[in-house]
Amino acid sequence: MQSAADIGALGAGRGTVSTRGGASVSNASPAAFTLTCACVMVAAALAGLAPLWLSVATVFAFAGPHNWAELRFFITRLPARLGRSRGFFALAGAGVVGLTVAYALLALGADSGVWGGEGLYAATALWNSAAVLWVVGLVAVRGRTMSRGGGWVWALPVGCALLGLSWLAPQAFALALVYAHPLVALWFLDRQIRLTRRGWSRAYRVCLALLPVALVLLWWRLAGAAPLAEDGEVALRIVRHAGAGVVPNVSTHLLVSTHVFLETLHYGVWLVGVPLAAGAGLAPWRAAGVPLVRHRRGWPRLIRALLVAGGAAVLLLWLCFVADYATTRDVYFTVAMAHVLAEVPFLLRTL
Amino acid sequence: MRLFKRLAALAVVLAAASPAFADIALPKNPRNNNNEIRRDLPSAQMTIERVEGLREARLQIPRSRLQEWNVAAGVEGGGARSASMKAVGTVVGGLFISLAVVLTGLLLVRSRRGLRVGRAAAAVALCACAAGAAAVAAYANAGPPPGLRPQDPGTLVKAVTGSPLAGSIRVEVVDEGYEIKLLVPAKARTNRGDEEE
Repeated sequence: MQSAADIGALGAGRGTVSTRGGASVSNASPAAFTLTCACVMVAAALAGLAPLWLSVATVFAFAGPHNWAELRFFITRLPARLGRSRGFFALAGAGVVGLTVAYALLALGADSGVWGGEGLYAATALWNSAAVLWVVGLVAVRGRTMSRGGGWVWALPVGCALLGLSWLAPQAFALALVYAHPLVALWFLDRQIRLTRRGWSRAYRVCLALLPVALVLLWWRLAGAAPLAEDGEVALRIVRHAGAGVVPNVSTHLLVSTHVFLETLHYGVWLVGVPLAAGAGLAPWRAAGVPLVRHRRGWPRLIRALLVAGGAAVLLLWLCFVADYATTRDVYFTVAMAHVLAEVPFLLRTL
Repeated sequence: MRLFKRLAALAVVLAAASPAFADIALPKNPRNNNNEIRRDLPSAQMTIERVEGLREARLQIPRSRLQEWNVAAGVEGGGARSASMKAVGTVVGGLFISLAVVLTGLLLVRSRRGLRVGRAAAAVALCACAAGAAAVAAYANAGPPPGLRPQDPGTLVKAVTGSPLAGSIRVEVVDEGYEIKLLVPAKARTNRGDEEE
């Protein structure tokens, strides 16, 4: 099993003061800190001023690369020998594949309109329930393999409460996932910083405190904003994705701005934050630092092929966006459920 | 023990509040007053376009909006969520939330020796969230809070300045868009269908 020391050794760059575990204790430079804060506020301002434009631009430019970066991150976190984690990873893999396929079928059914209102309601609630049960199962399996405490049992009441909410308001529950997903990246970055750049922790937490400030500013400015003009398929899809029709009596401008702001942060974290915190070890095209490549019982060819395929998929996605942005966006956000789900087991393993 | 007494008291208060609010009267039907803002009615964007070459006036309503209004009006089919499914969802949701509260209580009892303030706070927060969610479901038929999403007639006020404009229209449900459109022919036509000069 890969230890924190291994991960830290991958990450810390040269010329930094490091602990035995590989974590750099050098503080973040004031210039970098200021630049990060400025980026967060500029992203919020752009999201408020031109939400549709920012959504189109960021999804086009960063959706593919950030998935590639996540793939590289997850591959790095896979242990060379599964050992006692075999059951955990089996459940994780089955859940990611099964729930993604089910989600795609759900999207197809919703688009074709064959289910009607009742069918769609039940199907959405069932998918939500399956996702909650899967997460609770992962927490239970993970908790039972860990030596300390039995805190995982608290996942049972929390899971039941989430199941209840997913049946009371299935669409709202699914929308909550859309808004919560970008925040998970911030958690990953926090864990990465604690592993490899401990000196950045305080500056990062201060930057995190900017997030609610930016959100409150957005909501304050846009609470009474007129709905966005939904001219064309792309605008309609963006507005729907942000929750128009699910969240009543809220300006669609506010919804789209909030969603785009969080998505932009999400892309920034995976494409800039995590690689910077990890050093050069997490560049998607470099496979040398992956335990499954280095280990004598690893799968170096398969891992290299996966990373090359990831890069090719990014290029293909860009071409498809150029050819038909609206359709590609639909397909992308359906398939992208896989990376949303894949974050769960890897996040659990960092806790 | 004191914590359990407090939780029990909270549960009693919540239980007492449910029937009290369940008897709340439905809001009165709004009167037909032109000066009144009807926040209970759904709002939508609308444009009036003058279309060259159009033979007849046409009102285009996006299918998506029609489905939303069906839901609001409780109309079955067309993507609307029916009352029976809503009832099933409420029952299943209520059961799971109840189970969550029971499990929380059991776990609190089981771990009472090592009970930390954080756990108790988390449990209370969970109860409050569950009660809040139940309250949201109970008040789902209430009108939206006032002041949200102002309805702005925009430049439509300039459409009719003097006497009312009248004429027949075709109502068309379209798949694309999110905006209602009233398409008006650019030129009037004679009875034979020819454009008037």
